[in-house]
Amino acid sequence: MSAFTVISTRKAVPVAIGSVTLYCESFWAAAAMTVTEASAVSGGGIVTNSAPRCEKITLTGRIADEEQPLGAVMELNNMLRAPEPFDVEYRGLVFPDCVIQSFTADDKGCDYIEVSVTLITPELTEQAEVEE
Amino acid sequence: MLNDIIKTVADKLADTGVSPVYSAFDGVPAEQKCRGIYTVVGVEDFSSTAPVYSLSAVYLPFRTDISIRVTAPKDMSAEKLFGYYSSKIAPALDDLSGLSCSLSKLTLKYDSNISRLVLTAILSAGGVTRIERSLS
Repeated sequence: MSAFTVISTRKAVPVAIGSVTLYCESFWAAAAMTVTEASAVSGGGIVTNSAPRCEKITLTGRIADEEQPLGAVMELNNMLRAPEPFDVEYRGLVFPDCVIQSFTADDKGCDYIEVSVTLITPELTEQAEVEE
Repeated sequence: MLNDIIKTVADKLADTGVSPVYSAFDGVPAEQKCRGIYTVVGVEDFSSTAPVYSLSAVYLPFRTDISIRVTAPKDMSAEKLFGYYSSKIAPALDDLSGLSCSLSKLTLKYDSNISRLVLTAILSAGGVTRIERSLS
């Protein structure tokens, strides 16, 4: 039996959300299926219909922009109001045709803002192409 | 486990030109260490959480506080010691820093036992121990 110990030196990953680049420090994903049930004559339940809902991903990170400290807020808000689907790539996965469902930006008086963006996509998640 | 952590940091310091680097657990008394500037890497605090299992290995996540003590020669000023830290130690710590690893404390004290200035950096780090599972 062998064992080895490593210190994690993972860095924040840059993620392009439209024209905004967020160095992602936290990633969260969720997906669900809606199911319609009906009662059977026997007294049990049967599924009469089912459909997957959009996959939801939340990317959280901090943005430091010396020229336009709140520039990301404007960009994200404009993208939310005029939804043009875009692909998002994170750690080897591609989430196609994403739109912004919500975002938060928190300016706590530091030289950066804390940003959290929730995206939804109706498409299948894909594997990113490996560059050779 | 602790020796692996110390070795990782010591190797990283060596890459940026820090020499000599000792382990806090090597048992070498201070008077037998280098008379010039020297660095001692140790582990101040260690805690692990519940293991994560896979078919081939058990992963033991941990958090630790790693101390990097830079001891100055008797005639070295605090300014020069900070300069040494900035040019040699800080780049290594920047390289190690990430989502779960960052500099949490930096202190400068006079150690009256050895009559030298000691600069201590505490690196708060996280990581994992991978233990291979035997197939039986």
